Amino acid sequence: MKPTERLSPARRVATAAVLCAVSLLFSYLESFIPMPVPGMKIGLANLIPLLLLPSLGIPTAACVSLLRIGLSALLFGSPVSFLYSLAGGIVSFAVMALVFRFRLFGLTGVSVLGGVCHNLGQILVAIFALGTVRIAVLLPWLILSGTVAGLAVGLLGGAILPRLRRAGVLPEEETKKE
Amino acid sequence: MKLLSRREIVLLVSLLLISGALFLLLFLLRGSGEGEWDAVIAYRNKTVARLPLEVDTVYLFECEEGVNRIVIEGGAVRVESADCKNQVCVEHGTLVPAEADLDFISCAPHRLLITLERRGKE
Amino acid sequence: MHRRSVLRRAAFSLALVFLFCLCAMLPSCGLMRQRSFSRTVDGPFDTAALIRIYADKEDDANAFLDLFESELREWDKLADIYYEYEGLNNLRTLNLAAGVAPVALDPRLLDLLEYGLSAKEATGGRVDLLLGSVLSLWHECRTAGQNDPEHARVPTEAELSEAAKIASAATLVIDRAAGTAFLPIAGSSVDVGAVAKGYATEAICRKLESLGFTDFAANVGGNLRVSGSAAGTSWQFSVRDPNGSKTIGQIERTGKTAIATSGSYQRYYTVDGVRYHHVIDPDTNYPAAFGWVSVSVLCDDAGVADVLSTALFCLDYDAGVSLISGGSSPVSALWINESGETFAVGAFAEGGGK
Repeated sequence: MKPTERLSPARRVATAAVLCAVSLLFSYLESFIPMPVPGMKIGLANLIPLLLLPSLGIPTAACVSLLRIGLSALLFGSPVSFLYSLAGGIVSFAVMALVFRFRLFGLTGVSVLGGVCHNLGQILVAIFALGTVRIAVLLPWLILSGTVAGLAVGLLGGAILPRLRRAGVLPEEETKKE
Repeated sequence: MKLLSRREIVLLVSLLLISGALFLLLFLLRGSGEGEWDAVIAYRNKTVARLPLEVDTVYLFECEEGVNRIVIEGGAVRVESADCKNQVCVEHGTLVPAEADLDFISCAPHRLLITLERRGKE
Repeated sequence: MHRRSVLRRAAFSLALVFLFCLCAMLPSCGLMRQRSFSRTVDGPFDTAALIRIYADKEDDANAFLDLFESELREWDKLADIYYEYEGLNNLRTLNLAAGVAPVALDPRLLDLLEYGLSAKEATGGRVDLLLGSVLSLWHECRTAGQNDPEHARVPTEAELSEAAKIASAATLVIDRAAGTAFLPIAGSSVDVGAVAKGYATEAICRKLESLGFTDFAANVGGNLRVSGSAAGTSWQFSVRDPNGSKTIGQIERTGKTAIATSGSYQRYYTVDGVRYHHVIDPDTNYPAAFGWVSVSVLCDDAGVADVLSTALFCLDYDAGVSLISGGSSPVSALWINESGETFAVGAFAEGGGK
């Protein structure tokens, strides 16, 4: 199959589903890595929505992201963790989508902002849930780790996206203006 | 292949600066005694309870020697009432974090000691 | 070209890993100052003690705390006038042998007794360790009155004058060469209540300081003694108003400092609605009636602070001021009377201190 071929709707759904499962797996594996600060994570699962934004479009990426969060909470988490994940996920994805749509930054920049905003979203929810602003002391740590993690995932994404495209797993970006 | 566009580098640096500034802020604030405090309640030199000072509570301490009614209110701890003979513990009044280094409330007949410790210290 | 981009990528990845490790490490070592280690000791001198030290290593801190605690308990036993301990001659042993024979005592106890005698002289008799016969009467009545408030009583005039006669005749003979002390008058007794806590605290702190410990604070039943600083910042003392339980003033100090407080609210009992506190005026043989509710003294020696706080409680303001001005090192004092008025001299007057 040619690298530039557009995917059929069936192919799109299938690809999205598989990648969603991969994202779920990443999320699960990542939970075993101990972190000093609660809520700190590498965010490897975010790699998938990142790759999907330029490949299958914003709506598809959004669905995969939400689905992954839901499934992850259902399978491995609790109602509380779901709330936090969702908050982080929504804020993070919204920002990522905006940045991508308006080409403010490249893929790496999108990922960095996604990482930082994920943590910001979680802190916001924590402040409301715990009823105290004290949790904000974790902010510097989470901004730093969000930046670094986002950078790592972004660079990784930038490296494997061309390869996935060459392999025909993901389509080229739709650049035609109509 | 360009790893990062100039814009992205600017983004990264600004984020690092922001978090650095926040760290500095935290560090400066920490010097002034900010932090969470616990009221540590000990009986015969053994800790029996650790109560956060931010949460208003009433703790009824009971031992074979007697009873002390310990109240946490408005960020301070005090013995509201007790059935000991000398009432020194009640007379002491409140114990607040500003005095935490040196002050304590003790009920000698009941072998009871109340001190304030920062959270996170064993 | 290809190699350079691989190198760049490798450098970047390494930098990332390093940063991440930093992120992981930093929260746990978290902006460390010296850690503070504390211990509470329940029981000595019929009260409790809080000891705190700032140290880098936990072992050093524990060594300090262990030593302080054991020294404190030893002093407690030595200075005890109500109980005796197996294999140990303490002050109760001395009191029981009054009018009988000299008692061999630990040299530290002899130091304490000598200190008590010099305190009696220095305070013009306001603090009198030989007032034991009178003080024990009050102690009995107070304890009985606390246990059984219905039948609380005040010592009778007859009892008091009898005890006072013995007290004024009482002497204490200390033979350092033989290591003994002797109360020649039968019925006389030694009561170091106004001296012992402060003296012991000071002795222990000096011993530990000579061993190299610093940056510590101790509160032994209300006798405060600090050394060095609280990890770079000053120790904060707050003076509270015993009537309203609010803070009157704040003092910050570094270096050797001691504060002792005598108060009518500390130990008292009630007879027919009247409060009788524990600081007895040697002139009247009744609780000191100069109108003070609390007197705090600040100086560089916990023993001196303890003695002076008791002495000032048994003196009016002017006499008190002249007493504390006589010393070799500066003494500050804070008086609070029953009307809630405060009088301050020295660091308490500055309200901030150094």
